[in-house]
Amino acid sequence: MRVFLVVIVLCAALVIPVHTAAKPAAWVMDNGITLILEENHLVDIIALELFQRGGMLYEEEENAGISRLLARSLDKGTMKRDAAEIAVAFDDLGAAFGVQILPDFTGLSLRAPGETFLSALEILSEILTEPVFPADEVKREQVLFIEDIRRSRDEPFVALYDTFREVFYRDHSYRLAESGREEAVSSITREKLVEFFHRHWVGENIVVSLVGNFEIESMRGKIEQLFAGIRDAPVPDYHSLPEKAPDEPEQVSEEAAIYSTWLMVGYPAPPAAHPDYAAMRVINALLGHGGSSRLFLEVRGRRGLAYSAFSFYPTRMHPSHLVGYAIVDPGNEEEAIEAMQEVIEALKQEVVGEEEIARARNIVIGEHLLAQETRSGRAWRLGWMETMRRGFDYVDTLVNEVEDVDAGDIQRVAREYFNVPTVVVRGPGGG
Amino acid sequence: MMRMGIAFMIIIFFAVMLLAEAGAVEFEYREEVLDNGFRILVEEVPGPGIVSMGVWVAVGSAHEEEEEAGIAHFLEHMLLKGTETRPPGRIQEEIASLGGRMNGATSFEYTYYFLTLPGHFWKEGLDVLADIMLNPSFDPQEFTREREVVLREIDEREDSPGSRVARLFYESLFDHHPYGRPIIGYREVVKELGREDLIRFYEEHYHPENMLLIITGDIDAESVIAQAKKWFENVPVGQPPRVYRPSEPPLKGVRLAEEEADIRSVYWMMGFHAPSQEETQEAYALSMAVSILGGGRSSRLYRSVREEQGLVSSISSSYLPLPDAGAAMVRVIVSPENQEMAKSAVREEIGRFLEEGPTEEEMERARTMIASSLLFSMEGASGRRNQYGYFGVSNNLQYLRGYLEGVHRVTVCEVLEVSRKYLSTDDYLLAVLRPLKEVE
Repeated sequence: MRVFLVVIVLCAALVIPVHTAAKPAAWVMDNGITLILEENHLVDIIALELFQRGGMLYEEEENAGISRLLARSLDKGTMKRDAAEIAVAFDDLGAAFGVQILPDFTGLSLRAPGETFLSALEILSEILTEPVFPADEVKREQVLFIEDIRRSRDEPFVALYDTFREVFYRDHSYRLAESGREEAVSSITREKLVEFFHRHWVGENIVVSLVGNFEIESMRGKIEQLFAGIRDAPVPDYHSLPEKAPDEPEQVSEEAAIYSTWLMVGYPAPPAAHPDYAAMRVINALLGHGGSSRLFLEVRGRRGLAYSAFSFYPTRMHPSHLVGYAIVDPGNEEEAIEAMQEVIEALKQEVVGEEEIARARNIVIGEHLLAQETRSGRAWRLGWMETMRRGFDYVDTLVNEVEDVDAGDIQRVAREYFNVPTVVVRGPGGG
Repeated sequence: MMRMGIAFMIIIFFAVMLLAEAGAVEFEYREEVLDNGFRILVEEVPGPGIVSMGVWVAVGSAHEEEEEAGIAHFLEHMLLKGTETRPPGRIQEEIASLGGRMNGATSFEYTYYFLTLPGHFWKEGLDVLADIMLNPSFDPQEFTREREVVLREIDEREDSPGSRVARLFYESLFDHHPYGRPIIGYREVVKELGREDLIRFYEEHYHPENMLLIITGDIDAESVIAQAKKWFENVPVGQPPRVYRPSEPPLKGVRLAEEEADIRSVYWMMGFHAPSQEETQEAYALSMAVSILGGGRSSRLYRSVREEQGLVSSISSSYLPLPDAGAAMVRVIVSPENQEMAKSAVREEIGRFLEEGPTEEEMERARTMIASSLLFSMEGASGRRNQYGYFGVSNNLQYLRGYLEGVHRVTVCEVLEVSRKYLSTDDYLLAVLRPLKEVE
């Protein structure tokens, strides 16, 4: 059975198709916007994903959360419509509009049936080119945002991960709570918000990606017409520069009145555009993706210390982190931390077998493929990789890079990165 | 896995309850019923080379007795642990090796096991899925270990405010009916369950006539059905036990259920009894009502309570139709200082709706939103699998198919009538999870 499995695995790596529709095409518009278009006529849906590169990289302690407040306020009024009219107009068209704020970018998404998409696109272009940020609406969003910041720490994972980043990064804006800082958000004025928008939402900082039921040439013309009003101006420098990884191990414990103890064990990891990116993705799959991963088998399976034991490796423009996390019974945290460190750091000494690597490669490739099942998923990945400075075509070449990762790469990358752990614990009695 | 289960239930629920309108979505599935009652539903969905499949079993927490609460969910865990030929760990490893992902989920009325993987591995995926369903090993060592895992999962869910207030909501809304018991079960019951209890429950309920296999994606339907038959056509017929389902007395006055937690915001759910899936026309009309009230950013509750009055950071309404009964709800997250004003504002908005009813403009908007929600939710193979499973397992695919036309036909009067029958500003449940006093 084992031999048979290996054969399947190796074949799988060779034949998995990433995407079967037409190839994407890209242009840089006159105002600097990067536009990526891909036709897909199987279903009458068009999905747009827009990325404003920078996001929290432009933030510092004093204005932490301004990107999020801006995104929340963006659709609260244009020169032609107020907030209610915008909401009603999108809903009347059956269009789904959303915002997403991640450390490296602010994202806007729009999805609509083909027949109403262009009308929805006109509303989006108004939001981007003629926002008025009404003072009362901004004020209300500010108050609700502060409530959300307080609430975000009700979830143990969010609270623990905020603490992890605070310990792991010293000056970089990645250390700021992704949900924002209450004091900083309180001090943001409408004027600062408008100024932030005009400085940072400039063409060269924007990537727009569309996939769906359209003809490329006519959609390109429409986007160029509707988005021409976005300013063509120099891109400001980021507040944060890439930061050196911690050089001393650190462990921090927090007390919370919860039933279980949550813990994270993290190490430095490469940014998206680094040559080690694909290898670290494979390592992450091998360590902590699903029920057959090393962390799961050791911490939950063999030692029975946890219900959940996984790892994650966020794709970032600047140096990132690989984190193993587990949820354990209070009292088990020290054993779990030790076990997790052992599992992760074992990769430095051990030559991982081909069968296990092949499985991990296929996890990364399969996940990549499954994430592109919908038009939104595909558009998001294309735009995301362009935003992260890997280029949109990396979405289709990532597979080759992952397939090339071997045991030597894994050991080399593990030795390079898995040396100084950062540990955070949250639970009853401080874990 | 329970976390996954609940998550999926909500996804399906929103998808289905916010969907409707005719013309936008096509149903092109093929359904076959084998001689032993096992059902197979297959649909070719061209796309990026993906296949989604799952087996839905018509047994969930509502089929349990009080003294075995949690057994359906525990069994779901155990089925994924191993089979007679696949030792513990092998199932997940095999699916991961194929570039796929697999999980299980348990709800009130069903349990399901699902996977998504590259399309050309459909046969290998089906092989694993069928083996899980038909040849579980119930490994004694794994059983002991998995019980600890389930107990931790119970604690983990209690640490999440959203899950905890939902548990409080259902146990208070359904005082008599088993929908009131937590799907994940009670800690003290799970501790006492034995391996033989799980085997008995499996033998009682996992019969072919209780199962539905769904496969959607880049496949050839003919070949898939032929392969599925090889696996399932010889499974012997059984007779699942009947479970007593008491009816639920109506809510009278305000039923308050409160708990405290180490949190900063107040989470509350206002609830009403609502029509079951069987009461189709009422269900369609109530779907429209909850969409107009709190189904999007142009909805009444969102505009009034969040946008105009700025009282809450999150508000929505929804409706879950189940085979025996339904639940309509308004979910709110609010700061402790605003909670009373928010309650009044929600009651006022519901009262206004019950007084005036919806406008034609709102009806049209709800139909459009519902139509595109359906389109989006059924865009890919996984979304279609979930919709078919949710309704198909209770033999109610007609509800899904008819939903498109049904919602289109619903009138203003019907929405008003059904809203007045089920929603109220006097008789409702209020489930509240609030901060510990010292935190407040």
